[in-house]
Parts: sequence; structure tokens; C-alpha cells
Amino acid sequence: MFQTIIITDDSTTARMITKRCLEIAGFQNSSFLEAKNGEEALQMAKDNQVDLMVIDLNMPKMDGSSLLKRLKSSPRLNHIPVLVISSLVSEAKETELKEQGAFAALSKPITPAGLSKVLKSLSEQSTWG
Amino acid sequence: MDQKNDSLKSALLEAVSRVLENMAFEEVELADEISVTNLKADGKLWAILPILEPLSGEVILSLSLECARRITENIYGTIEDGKLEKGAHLDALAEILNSIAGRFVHTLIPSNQGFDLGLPKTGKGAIPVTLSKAVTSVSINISGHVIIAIVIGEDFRSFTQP
Repeated sequence: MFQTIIITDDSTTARMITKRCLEIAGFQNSSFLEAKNGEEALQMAKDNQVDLMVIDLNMPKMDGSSLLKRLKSSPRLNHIPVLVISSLVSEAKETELKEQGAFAALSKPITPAGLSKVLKSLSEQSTWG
Repeated sequence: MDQKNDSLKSALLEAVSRVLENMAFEEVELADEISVTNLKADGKLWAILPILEPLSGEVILSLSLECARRITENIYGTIEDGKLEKGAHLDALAEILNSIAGRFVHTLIPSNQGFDLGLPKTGKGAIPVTLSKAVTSVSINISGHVIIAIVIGEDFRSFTQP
């Protein structure tokens, strides 16, 4: 499951932490693609067979909310599960993001255990598992 | 110190401690308090992040280059066998501040309320803000290095915990 994962964050450090947490959470055999903003991530999603997108919200060029809207409004891409990892996540924001189509939202700093929990929940309730 | 400032300081200390412990695996201790108005630039690094909504202000970190390198090596060392790209410590500093600001504001506002932050800036030398406008600060020690976290913004001065 989740053979190809796109990690989108303008911070190299954040992308590396997310990748490492995903590896520790059991996805060490996944292929990781890294994007610095929403535009890059959208193009990567169009060009690749993607199983999971992890996105930050606060990014230059195209931010995470705009990226989520673009993904969910695309018949070709709206099947890709989206996990938001951002310092902007509050209960109110999580509700809003779920309404927009994200399956979960985690507040930074993340932990492998927290990541594992939401991804396990996703794989149990979907056909991606 | 008044009760409002105590609450702000506690929220800031909790955010700084949690983020540094989770991201950089550093044990945080309180350091002797440093007056931010007398803060000397002397080659230190800084990171500034605007808080946009619902409170308006800025969160700032000031620390030495050695301290930033240590934190960055802690983060990257467990990930990439210690190979650091140029500018990695500034990127790590910005990401740490981003996480601290998120946790700090999240603690202050009601859980059903959203918030918005700007993008972080980093640099070296004199901090490009008026430090006399600081409403609270904490000085912490990690392995002999002092880090100062500062909050600026009148909204925070009148803040009352929900």
C-alpha cells in the first residue's frame, strides 16, 4: 500500500522529517517524491501513479488549501488520499480540511506513532490498504 | 510580573520545549533570563515568523550559529547520516520556529477557532524588529547553548486565556 507518496512542504527539513517518520511508521519500501509547493505537487500527481499525498498548508506559490481544492476537483486525481501536516492545524482547521476532502490533518511537530495511527485508520476504511 | 504575562510565558515555554524535544531531541532547561532590549546581535542567528490571525504579532528565535548547527545535526543526523546541505541550519531554524508558533497560538485560542501564520524569515546579526515592543520572552538552555524566544504584538499584551 502507498507505493508512491508525494511529500509537499517548502521546508527541506520538514520534508525530511516527514519522510523519516513515514519510514519508521512502516513505509520504508515506498517511493517518495518531494515537492516544494502546490504547483510542483500538482504536476507530480499528474505525471505519476500516486497513492498518497502529504501536504503542508503554508507554502509560497500554491498553498496547501489551494492544492487540496485542485486535487479534489480533478476527476483524474480526486481518488488520491490527502494527509495535511501543518503548524496551522487546529480542531476548526481539521474540520474544514476534512470537508474539503482531506482524510486527516496533523499538527507539527509530528511523530511516527501519530502518523502510523492515521494511516492505519485510512487503510482500514478504504480500498487503498 | 502580572498573571497575563505568566500565562503567555508558560505557553511560549511549553511550545519551545515540546518542539525542541520532539524535533531536535534536546532536553530543555530554563536559563537565566536575558533582557531582550539589551540583546546583542554579535553574529547570532535569528528567525522571525508573523502571526496573522486572530492575534497579530511576531514570534522570534535568537541563538548562536553553533547552537543552530547542533540542532540541525540532531534533526538531520538521524535521517541522512549527518550530511548537511548548505543553509540547512537556517531551513531547520525556520521549520522549528514555524512549529513553535503554531503550538504557541494553538494554546492561546479556543480549540474551535482557526489561526493563520505568515512565512518565516531567517538571518544573522541584528534582529530587524523593535525589541522594546516585546510582550514576553523565555531564555532556555540546551547543552550549554542559550536560545531566546520572544513574542511581539500588542494583541498578546491584552490577551486573556480562553
